[in-house]
Amino acid sequence: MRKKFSVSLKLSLIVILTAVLIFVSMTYVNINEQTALFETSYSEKAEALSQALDSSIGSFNQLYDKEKVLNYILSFIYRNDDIISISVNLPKDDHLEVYVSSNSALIGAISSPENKQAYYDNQIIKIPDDQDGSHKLTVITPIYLSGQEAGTYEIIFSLDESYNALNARILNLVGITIFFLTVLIIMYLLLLRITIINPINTFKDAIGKIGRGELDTCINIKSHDEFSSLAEAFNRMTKDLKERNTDVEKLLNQKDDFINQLGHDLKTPLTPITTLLPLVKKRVDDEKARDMIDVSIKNAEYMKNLVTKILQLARLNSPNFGLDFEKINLCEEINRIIENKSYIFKEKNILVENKIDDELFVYADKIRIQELFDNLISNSIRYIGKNSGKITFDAKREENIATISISDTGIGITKEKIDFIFDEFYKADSSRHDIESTGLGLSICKRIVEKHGGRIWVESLGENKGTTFYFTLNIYDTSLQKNY
Amino acid sequence: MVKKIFVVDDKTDLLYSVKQGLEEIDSELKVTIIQSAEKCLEKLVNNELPDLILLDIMMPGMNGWEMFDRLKENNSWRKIPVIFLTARTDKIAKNAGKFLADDYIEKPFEIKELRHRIHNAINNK
Repeated sequence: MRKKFSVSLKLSLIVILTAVLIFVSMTYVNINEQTALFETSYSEKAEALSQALDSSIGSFNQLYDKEKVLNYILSFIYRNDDIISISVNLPKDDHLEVYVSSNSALIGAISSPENKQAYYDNQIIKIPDDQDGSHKLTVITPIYLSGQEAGTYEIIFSLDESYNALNARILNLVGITIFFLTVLIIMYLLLLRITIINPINTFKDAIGKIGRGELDTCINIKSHDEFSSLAEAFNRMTKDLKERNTDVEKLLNQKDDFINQLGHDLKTPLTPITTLLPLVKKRVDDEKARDMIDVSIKNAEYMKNLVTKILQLARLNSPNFGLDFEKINLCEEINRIIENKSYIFKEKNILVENKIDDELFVYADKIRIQELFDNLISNSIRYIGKNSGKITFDAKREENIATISISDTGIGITKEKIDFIFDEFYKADSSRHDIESTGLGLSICKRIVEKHGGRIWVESLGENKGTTFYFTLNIYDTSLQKNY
Repeated sequence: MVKKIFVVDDKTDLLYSVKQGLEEIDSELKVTIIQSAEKCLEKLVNNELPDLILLDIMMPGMNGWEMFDRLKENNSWRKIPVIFLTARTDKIAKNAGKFLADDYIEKPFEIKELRHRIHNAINNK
């Protein structure tokens, strides 16, 4: 399963990332600028120092008073904490040599090549040196005495203190930035929750409610932004939906009324026809006329069957259809149904056995259960056909479910047909064009069982090996009454 | 012994066919056809009591449910078994108790089944 990230988390990550990027780049630019600034200010300082030294020394001749020059240098070092050493370099042969230095170890040594360059090119040279965590800057400036170049001053500055100050400032900046960033993110998340996440959740809840059929759901968002206009559109949609739903409900009710009226009017004339035709047949001697009446009876019976079943199915498919659940003693109910049909069983030479435990109570709609058994029994009778046979009722309990079976010894069903047997208008034996079968009985059974929350299936060992229909119903217990 | 049956319905063809059908297949049944609940009550008031009443539900004037209630209110009529004749099972739900107290048969019915039910109802009362 893919992990889910909430919108606020994703947006916060983007904000944090952006803030960190800006902060890092700003700090980087800041440090670079500061370093460049250090070099400039130190070289300016070095220039000022060299001019001050020049004027202290005064003239070319004074330069050769070593002691005096050293005193000047030392007094400068004494006044400036950041100067490590000052050396005076004078030309000798084709190089410069350290003449006087605050670092006595250097005196007499050959000066660095940069001194020579500064002396001959008459320019200030800066040599930054960042080693072992300490920052140094060497500045070499030419000596001007009596209007001519005399040598170079080599001043070594320690930049550690300045860098320390800079680092402290950056650290301070980081702290302040982190603090403001945290405040910013918290404010951002709060704003995000109020302006985006909350409206989205409101929509989510409303959509869920509408899915459950609560069409009165209304979203109240007054933020004057995209969400409030979305809410308005949403409310318009639910209003339209509700209106349309009311129209559909009205139409469905009209349809139900129409079907009921039609059913009533279609059923009423069928009783006189199917009752009187056999009586007429008895009174007729002409064989041809009797054949004609037989065909009429057969077709009238078929129509009777079809009208009854189409109406049953229409009723079951109607959204207004509900069940009246009650506690039913299944054994007694089946005995009553068998008793009502006993004249048919006698006529067709069918043996009926009810093996159901007389203490099995199911929770179901009595009238629908009767329809269910009527359909299953007439199905079994049809499968048994003209031969004598047997129908057996049985039931098994499994926790709170009863599996009821009705088996016959009839023609059975082949495996290929089992899959279609519950489809509307499917006739298992289409080759026979069996006029008694409407092809609706089993789909009615399926609807009734499904309306009760059960399932129905059929098993057969094959042709002429009988058929068993199974279906499940809830066993009655006191807790069920509250649930339905 | 001949059993007296009242059949109450507003449809004359149905009344006719029930009477013809039942009397043809069962010589023990004597069927009286009555065209409204009011007329049936008149007969009962005149102490003309049947062994069983076949009662249609949807009738102009007094309907089957109201007629049934009248029967149950009267001590001498209460024991007469009733079989409802109905074509509209959808309205049954509300009055299911009345159906289950006695019996009902849905139109269009088999005359043989009706005969069978009539005998059952008379024997069980």
